[in-house]
Amino acid sequence: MSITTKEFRYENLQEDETVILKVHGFIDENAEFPEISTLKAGHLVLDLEDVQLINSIGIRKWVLWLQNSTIPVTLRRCAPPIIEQVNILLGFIPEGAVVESFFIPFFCEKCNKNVNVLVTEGADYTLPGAHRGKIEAPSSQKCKVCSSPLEMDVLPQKYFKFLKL
Amino acid sequence: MTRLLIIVILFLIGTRYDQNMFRLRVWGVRGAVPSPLTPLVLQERIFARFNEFFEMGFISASHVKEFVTALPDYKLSGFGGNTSCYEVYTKESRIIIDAGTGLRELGLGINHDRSPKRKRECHIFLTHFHWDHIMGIPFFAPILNQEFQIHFYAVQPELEQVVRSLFRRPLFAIPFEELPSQISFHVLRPREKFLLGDFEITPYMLDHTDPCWGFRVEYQGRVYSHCVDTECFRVSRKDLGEDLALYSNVDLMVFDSQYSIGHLLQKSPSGHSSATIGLDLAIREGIKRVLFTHYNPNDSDFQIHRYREQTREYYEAAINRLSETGRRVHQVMWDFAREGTDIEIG
Repeated sequence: MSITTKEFRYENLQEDETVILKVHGFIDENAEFPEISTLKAGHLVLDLEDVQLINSIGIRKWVLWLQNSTIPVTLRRCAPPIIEQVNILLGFIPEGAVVESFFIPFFCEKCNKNVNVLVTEGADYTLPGAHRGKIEAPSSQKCKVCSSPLEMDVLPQKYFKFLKL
Repeated sequence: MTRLLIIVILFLIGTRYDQNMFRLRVWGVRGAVPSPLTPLVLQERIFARFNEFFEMGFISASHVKEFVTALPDYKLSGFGGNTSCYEVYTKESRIIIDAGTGLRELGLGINHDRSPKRKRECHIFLTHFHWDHIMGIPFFAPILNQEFQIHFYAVQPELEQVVRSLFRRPLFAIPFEELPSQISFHVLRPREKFLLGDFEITPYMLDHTDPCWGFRVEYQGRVYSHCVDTECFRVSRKDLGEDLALYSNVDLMVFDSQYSIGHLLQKSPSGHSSATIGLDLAIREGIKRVLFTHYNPNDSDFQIHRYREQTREYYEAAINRLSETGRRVHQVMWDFAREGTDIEIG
């Protein structure tokens, strides 16, 4: 029996020359991205906090959508499914694109719940450039519900691979 | 008396099982061009396996079978080097889908099959006319046997012209007119069911660089879906339209997986797809089982194995992510096909 995919949608916000697209839901075969040339933007920011899943059909749509972009692209508040693909797939983000911030999954054993913690470029990590990237992963994270210590729920060498530590 | 009854019951069950069998046998898994194992590669494998045998502490001939049967496919036999050819069969009926170099060996078996019940006729369905899907035809032994009737089927109206062109000097020594078998051509109507023996066969359009038609083959409520070659550009239900039926209520799908998703994106449009796309489709449509095939001829068996492992990682992550949404997720049985794979459909 098939499942219903969570509907893809986006919101479009303009700040001067910058267009911020906040993407929600599943990036799959039903995702319809706006034509970049019609956005009238000098800079495109993709807010990806609410992306729940991106499958390979969605990856194809995403890459084909971004590959011809002539404007700078920034990825903001990247959900874990996005970071997974940034790490796996060469060319997932266009050349020159910047990962401005992303979420690291943590886990609370007591509450048995996942918690995503946001890290920001400049404050928590540096992107690789002339030198390797660096990250000071947030330590001593506590669950907001029960105050228990949170465990990082990823393999650092795998999850932070795109930082080329 | 009780023992005799049990034996009779088991025989009847076995007979009934045999009566209702609906199976796929794989004769060719490569795309583009045959990719046989070279003597050098075979020699290297044998050296490596002998070394492993002794490193694992085996010392005697009695251990050989245990060692060999435990070896993963890519370490010894590999996935196969022939191009596309698939046999779909029941106890009474058989069709062949595509006629790549795998057809040669299939033909030898058919030609030598003296079973009185087996009719001396062959039914070959062609998805399209790229070389790798037709290059086995001139070497199909029954075509050179006057006892045989050979039926070719395709949606494309140039079917007869294409097959005749394979038997033309200087490309082949025997002109079409001199072939001893009785050959006939059948142009199928797109998306219309066609009855043949035990089967109901419906062609649906695939997304390839030239017109290409997959086949939905039904037998007693069980469904086989043949989806090679395709890039699967149309994936949403809306885009697939009438061709969605190729992926609906399917027990076994064979799907084009020539490239990983990364390579696919570099080469697109290529006319070929990726195993991960096949899995996304299978999960969505509730397809029970998938065999991936049509491997890049330049990929070694180890590379295909790596690709399989990457696909496994993708699948497990996809299932986990979907499960986190709280919805019931359809789990798919899948594998990468090898020549000689022979499995029950449904």
